[in-house]
Amino acid sequence: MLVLTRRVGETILVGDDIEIEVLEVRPGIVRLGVRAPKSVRVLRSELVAEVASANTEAVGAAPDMDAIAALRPSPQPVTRANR
Amino acid sequence: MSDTDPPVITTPDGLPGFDDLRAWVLEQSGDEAVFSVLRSLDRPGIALLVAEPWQLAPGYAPDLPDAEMVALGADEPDDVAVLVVVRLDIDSKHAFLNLAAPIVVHAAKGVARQMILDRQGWPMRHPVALGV
Repeated sequence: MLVLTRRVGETILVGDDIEIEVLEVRPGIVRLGVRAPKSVRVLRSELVAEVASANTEAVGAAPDMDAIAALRPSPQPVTRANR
Repeated sequence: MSDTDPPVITTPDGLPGFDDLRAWVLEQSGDEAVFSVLRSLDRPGIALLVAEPWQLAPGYAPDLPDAEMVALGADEPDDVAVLVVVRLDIDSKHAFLNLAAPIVVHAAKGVARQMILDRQGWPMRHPVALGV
């Protein structure tokens, strides 16, 4: 792993068109800004792990096809959480 | 393969938690069934319960990221179908829909990706009551 020391306001370039800027540093927390083309996926790593465990849970609980066909859900409106 | 076999759907990058699984079939459980099963062809016994979200979660309007659509090879939103992964809890008679990471299928190309929708606010475990 490449290890670099940066100050607030300084940046790192990854490839030709990805730039990461250190916005704020507090004890235990770093805020980063990422400038990247829209074609580049930028995600917090733990989110991928959460989806992986949600997928794994969904597999463990799948019943047989006849039971699935008989399920009749009651729709439940969804709203977005505050971001 | 007979005419009635469902088409194979490939996930070139796997799915989170199943990174090495690439080939799947989508099996309908019945003509009027709400839920389907995405069954792995690579590893017998692995099957994800999935559903189309629109009826089950009115108001769901995911914003599919450009980067993900490019990776899927989809030019237009109309080219794709959206499925969500479902966890059943028979004891509490609820289904929990992962609205934060829909599986987006490009049927014409036979490919799919699970798109993680960061900071859109859609819940990863949206409860829907079941009347069996």
